[in-house]
Amino acid sequence: MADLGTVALLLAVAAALYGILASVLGAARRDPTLVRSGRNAALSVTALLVIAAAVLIYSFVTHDYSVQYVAEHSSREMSLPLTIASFYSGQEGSLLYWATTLAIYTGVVIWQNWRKNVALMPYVTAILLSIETFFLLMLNFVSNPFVRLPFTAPDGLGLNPLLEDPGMLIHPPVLLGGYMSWSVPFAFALAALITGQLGTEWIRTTRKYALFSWAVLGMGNLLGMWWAYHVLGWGGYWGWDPVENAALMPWLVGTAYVHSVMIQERRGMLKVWNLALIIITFNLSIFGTFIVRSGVLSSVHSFAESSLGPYFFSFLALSLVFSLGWLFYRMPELKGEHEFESALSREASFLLNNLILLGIVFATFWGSIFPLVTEALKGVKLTVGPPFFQRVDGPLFLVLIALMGIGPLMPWRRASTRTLQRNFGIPLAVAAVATAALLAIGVRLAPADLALFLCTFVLATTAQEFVWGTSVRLRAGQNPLLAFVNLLRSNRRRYGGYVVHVGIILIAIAITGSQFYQLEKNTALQPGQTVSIGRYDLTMGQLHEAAFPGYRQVWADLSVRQSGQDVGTIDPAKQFHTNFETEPNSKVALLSTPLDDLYVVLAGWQPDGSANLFVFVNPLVMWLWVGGIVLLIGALITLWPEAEPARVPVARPVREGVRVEAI
Amino acid sequence: MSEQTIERVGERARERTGDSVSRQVDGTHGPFAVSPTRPTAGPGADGWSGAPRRLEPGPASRARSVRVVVAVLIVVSAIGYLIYTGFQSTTVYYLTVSELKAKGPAAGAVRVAGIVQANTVVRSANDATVHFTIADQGGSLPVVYQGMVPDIFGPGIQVVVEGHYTAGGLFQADTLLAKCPSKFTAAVPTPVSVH
Repeated sequence: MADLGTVALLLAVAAALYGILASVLGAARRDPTLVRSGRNAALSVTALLVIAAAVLIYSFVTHDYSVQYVAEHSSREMSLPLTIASFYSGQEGSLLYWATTLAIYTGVVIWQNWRKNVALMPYVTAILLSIETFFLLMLNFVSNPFVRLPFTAPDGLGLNPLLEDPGMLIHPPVLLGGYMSWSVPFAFALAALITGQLGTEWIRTTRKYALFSWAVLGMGNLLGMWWAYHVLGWGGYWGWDPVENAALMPWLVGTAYVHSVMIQERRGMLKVWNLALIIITFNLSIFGTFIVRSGVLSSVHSFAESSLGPYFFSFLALSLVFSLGWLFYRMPELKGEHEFESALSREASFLLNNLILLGIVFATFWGSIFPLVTEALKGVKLTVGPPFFQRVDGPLFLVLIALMGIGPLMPWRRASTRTLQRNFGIPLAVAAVATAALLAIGVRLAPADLALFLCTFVLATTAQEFVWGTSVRLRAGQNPLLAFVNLLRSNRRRYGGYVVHVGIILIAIAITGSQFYQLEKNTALQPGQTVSIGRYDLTMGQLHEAAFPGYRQVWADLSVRQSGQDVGTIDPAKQFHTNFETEPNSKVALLSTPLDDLYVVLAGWQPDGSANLFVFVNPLVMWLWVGGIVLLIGALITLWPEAEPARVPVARPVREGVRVEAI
Repeated sequence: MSEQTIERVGERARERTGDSVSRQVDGTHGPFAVSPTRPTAGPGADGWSGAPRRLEPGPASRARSVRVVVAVLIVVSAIGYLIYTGFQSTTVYYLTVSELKAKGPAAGAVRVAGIVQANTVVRSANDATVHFTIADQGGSLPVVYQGMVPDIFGPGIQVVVEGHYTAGGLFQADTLLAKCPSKFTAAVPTPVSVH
């Protein structure tokens, strides 16, 4: 079976190369037959990759241990979902996953746009196929998942225990999908640059794709945090490790894009900037996909180093030179149509938001590659760790939060004093009262107070927007629920955006709480002894040990009282998996409440039956995950297809390059 | 509603201040070009959407662009300053064992990578203190660390410690990171070598 996969991959390269050629030639010669042929080649790449992926899944499910990749990443005792998930647990499979999802997405994009964007589509197809070709070349010639062992192994090695977790089923595919999906906005942007059709067409088309990518990448990051938090057992969810930073950076630049693109739509400004943002986001996504495996940055996550590094850097360089070259070439055609008129305007607050986001990315990027740079320049390796990122990115994130409250209530062009008073009076008062209350209950760390002040301010401005919008409809006689739903429907993008903001604020509140008010204790407990931390008292019961299929487990049972109330027992554990005896795997005991999480790790034990425990109380962490769900809901509201077509067709916000050229 | 009003005023002002784009455009993009989802009258229905007159950018507009550039520069320098001081105050040296020994305790906060040596790991019974020795090609270094130990920590694992070299030759680590040799490519447990 696996040979079918090999063949499919080879054919896919050929089809992709042909597709690029046919699309570009067809578009240049205005030959619709050739263009169609290019499209069909793209669709056959999709089919071939689906076959290849299906073959690999089949090999996993049927335990075909003659295939090296299958033998190295799964074993007979693994559950079916995990066996399938092993598909993307290694380098070869994750490349195939990337390539396959890109191929499917390419098919979807072709299906959605072929008729709508006749001029752009041949180039979009060619660009997507070019990205695809790079992955296919890697899959065929550098990192092939279908390579056979000289023999058939009786059983596979199994998955690393850290990966044997529900998080494995969802975090990698979503994160990789997020990286992958930025290819589409990039392809449209580049196609617009190549064709010179720099008007609203590509912006309008790209809008939803960009939002989709933004949401998927954001969820990928959040799921990674969730996984790290409940699996890795160090009490946190974000370590400012280069690999994490690499996943955050494209998301931040993407965030800048989804905001600044609104200025282009409304005011015809920042055209070069928007194209540059898309180009950067895509290239950072590629950077994120590969940095993990290049071995150039030392990371806790540094997976086995691979030979991919040089290829990936060449691809990145090529893609940057090509896209920035086109951007430079089209620069004269990308003049803004308006200028900034006032610092008190929505444009200005969006511009500031963009500068701050890019500033965070810039700092994070240099912080991550700092050791490389200093080694190259000064011959010594200097590094920065979490303190750097907290110190630099922290204040910038606070400014962003402030802007999240200010921006949406700023009118376009310029604001009058009266507008400012009307829009910000109540939210500022609410935030002041909330902060006073926080000070009264003892939250007295200045950065935390400032962060929470800003968060309540944003929540209040957002609530005010919803109340104003709903009350207009209430006055028109609609019932409150209907009024609210209709409000959301009346401008999904705007109100969906507000919901996303609420999600981000919840996340910010959770980060503030857990950053500034985490409690930590490490302790050794004899049976019967008690440790107190925050509002919790933990009493040690017994140590236990037992063998389970595939692993051996040691655990302690602890009874927990919360503010004097009995809330049950928890049992932090360590598992020793067969095949991985030297890499025990902590099972964190987690008691999650809206106020705080009790987080207990069994670090070790002594012959006398005592247990070494790390106990954390992490305030407000639950809101991180709630915020993620709210964010997802907001993104869905924004992305939900419109119930067209009774509406006026999408009006043209800014001058269209097409028409300009035609004149 | 107010937004429409603002847009309409905006359109008027745009005509007044002129337009830096030097190309002629047709009149179909009216003020209602803004919100695709809001049902409005068609383009041109409001009387504001005639072809804008073309005017040369006046001194007022030039002054505005200067102001914007200055504002952007201020923000960018503020961010730059934040990054600069961040680097100044949080940078630590990443040294090899022999480099560290050459520098001695004066090295300050440093990071050192090495392989945990067999039979050197001693964990204390009642607090979370661990003693162990790491080594790279240049020599070996005894380390003491108190805190959370990563699961995979153990002999043969590559770790990165951050902390201070003390006069007694012991390295006092504040953080301990272990590299997962096989996190993604789960494989036979093999001894790890320095790459």
